[in-house]
Amino acid sequence: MMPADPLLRIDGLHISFKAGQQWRDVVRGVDLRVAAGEVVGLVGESGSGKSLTALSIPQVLPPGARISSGRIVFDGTDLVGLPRKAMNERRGRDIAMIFQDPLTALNPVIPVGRQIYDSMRTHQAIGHKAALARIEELLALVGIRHPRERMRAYPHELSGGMRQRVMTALAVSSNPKLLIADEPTTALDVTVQAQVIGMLDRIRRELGIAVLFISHNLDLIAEICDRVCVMYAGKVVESSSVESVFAAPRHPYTRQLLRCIPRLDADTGPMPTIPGLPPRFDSDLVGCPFAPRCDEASDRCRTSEPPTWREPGHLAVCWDAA
Amino acid sequence: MAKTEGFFELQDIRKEYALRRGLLQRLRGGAPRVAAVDGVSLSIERGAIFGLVGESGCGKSTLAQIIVRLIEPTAGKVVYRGADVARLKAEEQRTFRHAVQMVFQDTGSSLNPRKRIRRVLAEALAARSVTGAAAEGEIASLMHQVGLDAMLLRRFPHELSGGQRQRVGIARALAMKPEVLVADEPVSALDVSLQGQIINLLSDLNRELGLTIILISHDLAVVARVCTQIAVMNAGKIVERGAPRQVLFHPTDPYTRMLIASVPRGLAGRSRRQGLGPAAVDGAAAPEDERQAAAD
Repeated sequence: MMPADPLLRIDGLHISFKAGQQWRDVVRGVDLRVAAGEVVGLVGESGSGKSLTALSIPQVLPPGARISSGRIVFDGTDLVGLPRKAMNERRGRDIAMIFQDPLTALNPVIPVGRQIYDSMRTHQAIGHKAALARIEELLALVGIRHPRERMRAYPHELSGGMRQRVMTALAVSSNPKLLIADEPTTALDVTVQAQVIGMLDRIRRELGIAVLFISHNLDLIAEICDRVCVMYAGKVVESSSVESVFAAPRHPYTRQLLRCIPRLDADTGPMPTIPGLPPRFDSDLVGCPFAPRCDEASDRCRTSEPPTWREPGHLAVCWDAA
Repeated sequence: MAKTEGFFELQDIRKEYALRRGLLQRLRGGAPRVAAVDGVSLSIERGAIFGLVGESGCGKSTLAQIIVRLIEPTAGKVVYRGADVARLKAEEQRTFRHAVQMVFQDTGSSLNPRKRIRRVLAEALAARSVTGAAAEGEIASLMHQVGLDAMLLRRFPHELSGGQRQRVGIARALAMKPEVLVADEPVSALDVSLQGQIINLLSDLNRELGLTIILISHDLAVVARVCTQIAVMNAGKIVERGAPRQVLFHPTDPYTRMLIASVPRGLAGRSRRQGLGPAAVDGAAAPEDERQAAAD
């Protein structure tokens, strides 16, 4: 029961890849809500479908993948099946995205300031001088010192953290309503990661942009997200406020994931792990897909698909969630 | 194990690279040089798991390559079992190369994509002149030792997961019956749920075989958990060393403190961020900012 429609509402999203003759579902019925100004974390191991889910929103799925069913309602419009022209207008303006590797996302032969300038003049009715002033403001906002000089730098002249800041400035330059951040700090050093997270936090506070933050590290998600969705084998298996996911995780996968994060504490001895591997996308799933790796699984889990347990603001797909 | 001191020692290691400038400048010999490793001395005890922590560009991988003699230092000595490794005779040289093995971060590029796993291991064993039936037996036990199913021997590297490939990398190193294993960021490309499996495997090998392990990582939390001794490296120098708990809970160096403060802390980090506005670490001068300032 939402008072108003959320900014983004994904219902029953299925994404499939062609494997031989048939299409195989890799994302298998994802529901996701992001309210205006909210920061939602999407967490899971590689192959869980978290990146595909994110890429499907601006419809930049890799070749060979397609949305086979479901709705992606953004700001009142279903994006699935939207004509290319209408989609192009929204992409980059209302929905912006930053990636793990900023070097491939920035044009290597154009100074970074110019790239932001071009994007702004394309998407907005803004004059030359106003655009330049705004770029300077944005670069300062993402924590780049001497923004006026830095505007003339080429991407290769900047460090990894600086590039990530520039890409973020570029992404938010068109005043998007939603920023999708796909593992933006995974390639960065921890000290730089902390700075980039601080920057994203500042941006969301000052500009009121909703953020969908994708990561495999729950501790990192907890630092800036309001809500978190845990994905496993193409489905959201738990979704709740960050506080309750940490205080009372309902899904064993979430619990085991939380245990695995290396923390700076006094613990020694073997590191906690989740045994085994996530299922391959081309395997047939019977029962709960996590059951083979779950330390609490019973026979029921291995044979029949688990129900969805719900409480206001909290959801878990597990037989024993209650 | 009577003698633990002087098992593996680095004495004032220095590695300089010339910054690439114009031809003329290089001919004049005036090209400026940068020290990737700037006077590092370390003593690693036999049977230790020694952790080396630092961020990209700190020189830790250069140091790893010097340890296994992939590159030679500009100055300083590597001493293994009392002998300067730069002065080993040909036969001793071979022994050293077998005894000190390396596990790489990127298993995608450190395994030949055109060779099946069986061949990867067979070739390693052939270097020790183990062939035929003896090799078959050893291959099976190596696979068992690293926790891999013998079925995977027929596969190519790309048919394995990242974690499985890393196990193959470890098996290949073990094929040489090493005494020292240098693991350069062995888990940084893996999911958190799988990192522990590889780290625990290294830890088991240390315990069961008495293998000395030098674990190089940017992840202080991982290193602190399994290592007996750790050293923190920044800008080519060791800035802090000691037992993990001492380094974690009583760091003396400002860089170590910043490294510790940067590790995500989950809900605790959240309240820190919300309580203070911009995070406390945000204001600290990171190496990156210093680099930026230097470039200005």
